[in-house]
Amino acid sequence: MCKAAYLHVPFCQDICAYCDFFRCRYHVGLAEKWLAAMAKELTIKKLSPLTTMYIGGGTPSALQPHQLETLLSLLVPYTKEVNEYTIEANVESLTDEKLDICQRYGVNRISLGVQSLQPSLLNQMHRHHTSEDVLACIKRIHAHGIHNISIDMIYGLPKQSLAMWEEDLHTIVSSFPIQHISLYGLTIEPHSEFGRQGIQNIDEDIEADMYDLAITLLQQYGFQQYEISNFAKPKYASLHNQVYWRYEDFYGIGCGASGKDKRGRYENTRNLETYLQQGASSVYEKLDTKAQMFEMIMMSLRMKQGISRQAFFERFGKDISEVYGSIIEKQKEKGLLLVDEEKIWASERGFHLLNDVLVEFLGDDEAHG
Amino acid sequence: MEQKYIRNFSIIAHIDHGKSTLADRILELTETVEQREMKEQLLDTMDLERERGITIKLNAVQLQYTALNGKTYIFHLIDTPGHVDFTYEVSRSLAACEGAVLVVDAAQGIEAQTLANVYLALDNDLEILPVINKIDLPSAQPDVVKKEIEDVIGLDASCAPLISAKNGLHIRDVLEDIVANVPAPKGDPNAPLQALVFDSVYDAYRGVIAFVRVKEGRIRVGDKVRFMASDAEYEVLECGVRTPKEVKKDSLECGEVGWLCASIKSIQDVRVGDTITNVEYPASAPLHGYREMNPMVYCGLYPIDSAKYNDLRDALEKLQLNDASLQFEAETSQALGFGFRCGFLGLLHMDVVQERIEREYHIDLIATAPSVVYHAYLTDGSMLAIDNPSLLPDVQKIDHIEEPFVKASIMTPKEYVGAIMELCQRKRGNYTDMVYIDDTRMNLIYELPLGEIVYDFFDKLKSCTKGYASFDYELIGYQPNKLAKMDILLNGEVVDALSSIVHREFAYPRGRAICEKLKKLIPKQQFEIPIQAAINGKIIARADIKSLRKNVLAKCYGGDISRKKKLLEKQKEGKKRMKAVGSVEVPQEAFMAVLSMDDES
Repeated sequence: MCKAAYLHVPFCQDICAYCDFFRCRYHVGLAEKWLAAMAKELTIKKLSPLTTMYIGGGTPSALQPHQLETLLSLLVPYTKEVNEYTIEANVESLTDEKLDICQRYGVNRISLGVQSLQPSLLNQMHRHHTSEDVLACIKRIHAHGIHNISIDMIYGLPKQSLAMWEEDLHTIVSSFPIQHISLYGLTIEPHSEFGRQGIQNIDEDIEADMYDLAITLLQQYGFQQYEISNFAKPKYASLHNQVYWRYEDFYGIGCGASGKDKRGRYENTRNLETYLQQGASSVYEKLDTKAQMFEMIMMSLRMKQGISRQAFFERFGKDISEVYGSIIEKQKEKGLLLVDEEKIWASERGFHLLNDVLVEFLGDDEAHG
Repeated sequence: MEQKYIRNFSIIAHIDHGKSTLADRILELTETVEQREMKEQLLDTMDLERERGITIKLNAVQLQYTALNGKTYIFHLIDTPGHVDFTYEVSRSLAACEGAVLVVDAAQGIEAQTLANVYLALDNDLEILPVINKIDLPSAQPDVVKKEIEDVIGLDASCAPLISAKNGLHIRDVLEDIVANVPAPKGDPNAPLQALVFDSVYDAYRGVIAFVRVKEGRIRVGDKVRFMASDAEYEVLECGVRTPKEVKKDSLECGEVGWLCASIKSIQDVRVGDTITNVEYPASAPLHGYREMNPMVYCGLYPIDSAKYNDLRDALEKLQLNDASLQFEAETSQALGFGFRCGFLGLLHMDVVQERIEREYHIDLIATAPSVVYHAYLTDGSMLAIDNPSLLPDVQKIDHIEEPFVKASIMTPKEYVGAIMELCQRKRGNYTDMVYIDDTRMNLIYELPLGEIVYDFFDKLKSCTKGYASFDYELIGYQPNKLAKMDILLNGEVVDALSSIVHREFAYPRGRAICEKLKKLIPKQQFEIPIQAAINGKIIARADIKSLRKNVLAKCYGGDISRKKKLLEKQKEGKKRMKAVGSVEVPQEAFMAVLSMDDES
């Protein structure tokens, strides 16, 4: 049974230079048509009651208050029993009025796109807040009774030094009352503005230093790493994101969203025009057992707790060691995976080199046809 | 057809001077090929040839031409490959002719390759007919080029036809020139058979087809013939000419050029330059000029996927059916596993074979850096020919090593002379001579180690002369030098496939260059990898590949599973194109790193 949903809001007030997600510049008329299409999609989808709801983007807070209210009210039938209700926002657009609306409709978690506190870097990626703005915003969120706050940060930006990164992290952990941090290691995507400008990724070693620094520093301040790039105070690990990492089913709603069910995955159209006229127009990819096994491993090993043998057995009726025994053994010998009776998880080094580990599982996938 | 109405000729030219285009125009004008059947450059039949604009395999075509004097002539146009790798094959095709049409570009003038071909033609006593092509170009200087032909080659160019092969201008002048000035074949139809083999192709149904020029006597279907160098005997089953369609005939008469087949299974029996004679009525001696072809350049070819070893052998065998100059034998490399040591006429030949294996037989290859054949003289007085540097014996056992040298002729506008001399010095060349061709151009003569030429000499020459210099060389024998084997160690292990033979005085910079190049080419792995260059066990250069610290997709939108998976699939694809050497994954191109020049570091 699918109990989680991701809803994609494809609008942004401004486009960030690093971004190649599906998004477009906010426009009132367009947003209203989009809401109409959303209403239609929800009618057709007939979601079952959700335990987690996540509204991401784009920038959901770029919607005008009445539009935001419409969106949230459309979701009321499905979010009555929800445990975690997240909405992504940025500092510039999250007004008190919008916070009131969020509070009224049961939103209990805000994910704030901060990315950096360094004026020069923010300017470079076309973001316009200051450190003070961020702190003020966090306080306002608390004032509206929403106490589960996450912020997104980026490392590996062009011209970002290790010292800048350290300064930002210090400011956050020492003076921002938040519970959760997501770190995004920047890859220059060819279709982002950075990519088009021909900007290169920063030195691999500096990027690795930034990652290591974050792990150490955040843990010192009580943020536990529970996934490759996610850190939380105890009990604040994101319930919704864990649905992805446990490879459980989730709905994908809206233009540009993707979802998964028992048999496979689907991607809704990324063309806004198509969405407005013909709805989600999703493309479905059916996955055989072997592909599903791999994907479950790929997602689960991102978590500190790794993959549960029990969960794997329940899903596929086979013991994970029966299918991947020799690969697991080899990675264990290399010190990249750790194994006990209940689970298989990545070591500290295995976390850093997870792609190398996963490629080995992919190899097996093909060898077995 | 009476012998006096036969004309056998080749077209010789520098690459891009319009040889193939002129051949096409001649075929059109003699209506040998209908306009609509014409593909551009009909004689170049292999895709690769078309792509590279070069001719690799030879072809011979019979044409009929009714001259202005009202008489009809039989022309045999014998195409020649246009690259220095195939000099011997060119010389044999020329030996099948009485004349050669020398095409010179009206804008570019004479090039080193033009000269080389002219000398080959003169060696074979051919009548040379200069033709000035591309006269429609704005930069054409036909008078200057004519004077150059007269000064440099010593040919009278005053009556040379001025043509544009591309636009079909004055092509008939060339044909009339051939009628008037190329001698008819001599030779006695009743003498014992002597037919020169100048090419062969393999046909899956009929075996090897030999292309021959009947010099004396005649060949009839049913004759028993002997190949005098290989001593193989066969009965002629079919013979004929190409127009370029195959036309069967009962016999090939004295002076004619055509093909024969005789259920010949092995191309080794049909060697270019060999003489065919009649078993019953044999000639006392073969035609002169036969030479066994020895590969100049060797490299190891290994399948990336070792399961494809047998496929690679099949591919090499199939290519060899059509290419007697390709040699190979099985070899084993500690680093690369099972593969083949292959011998080629030159670098172009090597490239073509590799590309055909990858393209036509779908086998991903690792090629080791090309090597020449070194002569290692041992302390016990014996000599070992070394075509694989890793097989050079221990230094204690070696008295001295000799390497092949070439005489290189480099034609260049005079402003690049300094740059070329610098390049030749760096390539261990010995200056021989320098002559003026005219006020603006010179010909530099150097003796160079062949081993340096198979590195990147040609590319370097092009880049230091903005492409204006042209280059040709011939082998002049072996010379002793201070040579030593340089080993490369990855992670402390010698990788035999990366060994090379270097001059001691150049060893340090080259060792450094190779280490640095490998550092760039080999991706970071989970552990640190030292790369070392060593001579006789002594480390002379080192570079370290730092260990990979982080390879994980940090947050992107959590639900985007397909994106994560695609990234991993891409990484896996990349891995497939690498070879595991010990515990190190080494990409294909790293095995060519030994080619990196000292000045690249």
